[in-house]
Amino acid sequence: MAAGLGLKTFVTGDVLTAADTNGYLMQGVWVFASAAARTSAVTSPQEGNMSYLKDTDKVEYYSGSAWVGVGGTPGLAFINSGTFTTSSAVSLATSTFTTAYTNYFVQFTITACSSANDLGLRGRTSGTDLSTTVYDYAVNGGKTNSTTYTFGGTSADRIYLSSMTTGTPYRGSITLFSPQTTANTYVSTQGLGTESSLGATANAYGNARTAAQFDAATIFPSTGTITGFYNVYGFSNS
Amino acid sequence: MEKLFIQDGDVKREFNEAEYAQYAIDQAENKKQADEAKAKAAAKAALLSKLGITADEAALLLA
Repeated sequence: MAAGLGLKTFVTGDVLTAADTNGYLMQGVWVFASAAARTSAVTSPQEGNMSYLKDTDKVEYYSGSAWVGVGGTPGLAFINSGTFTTSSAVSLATSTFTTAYTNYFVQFTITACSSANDLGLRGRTSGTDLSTTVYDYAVNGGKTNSTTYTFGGTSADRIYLSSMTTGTPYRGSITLFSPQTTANTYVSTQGLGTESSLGATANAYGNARTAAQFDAATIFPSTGTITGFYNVYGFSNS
Repeated sequence: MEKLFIQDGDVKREFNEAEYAQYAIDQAENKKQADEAKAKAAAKAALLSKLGITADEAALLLA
């Protein structure tokens, strides 16, 4: 396919040549069923060519060496999501964390819990939680009576994220740093829950002091069950 | 023992043997921590009673 020539305003009497047709009129967005169909039809793509693929619903341009999605790489790439109902534990799907991303972001929303409890997190590899005492944690926040609170610990069997009651279940954003590497996995969270029966912010620090390479995580209440949903994203490295 | 369920990715299933075992360990630890907190609160209340002051008054002393 010819390279685009830019924009031309035709006037009465102009002769429409093949070069004009290919260089101006044919330079719109070409619609194909798939990338394979495009490859068959466009054997010599030129820089600036545009296409729309019906199977993926994506608009792409030819950079001169490859077809590239318009809009670039999103900073947060959606990985998976899930819902849970009256569960005693929620494990992200195996291989949620891969080498595709270094750091991950989990939005975890509990809409109901069966009893007051403390919410914890453990790293998970190949379907098994790491429940040994390799975790350090610290939680702090402010309460609705204007006082603050903090609690923490070392060598625990989980990272504590927050306390909650049936009236104010936990809702929070959890960032996991390097869960897939052999280095320690660090966790930071911003959320809300309950402390001493009062609504409170819950900001947590966590560290899994282990070389274990986690491909998922389990979030669980200390007692009872939880209902809600979550979304997992990867932070793009470029 | 009551049946417990885990949301494992897209599948909700009953705990397996290892998960039930870990749950029992976790519950024992929870009870231990709750008992310790309860004992601490009772000791604090006993001390306040012995001193004849309230918790707020004790806080004032420590401020």
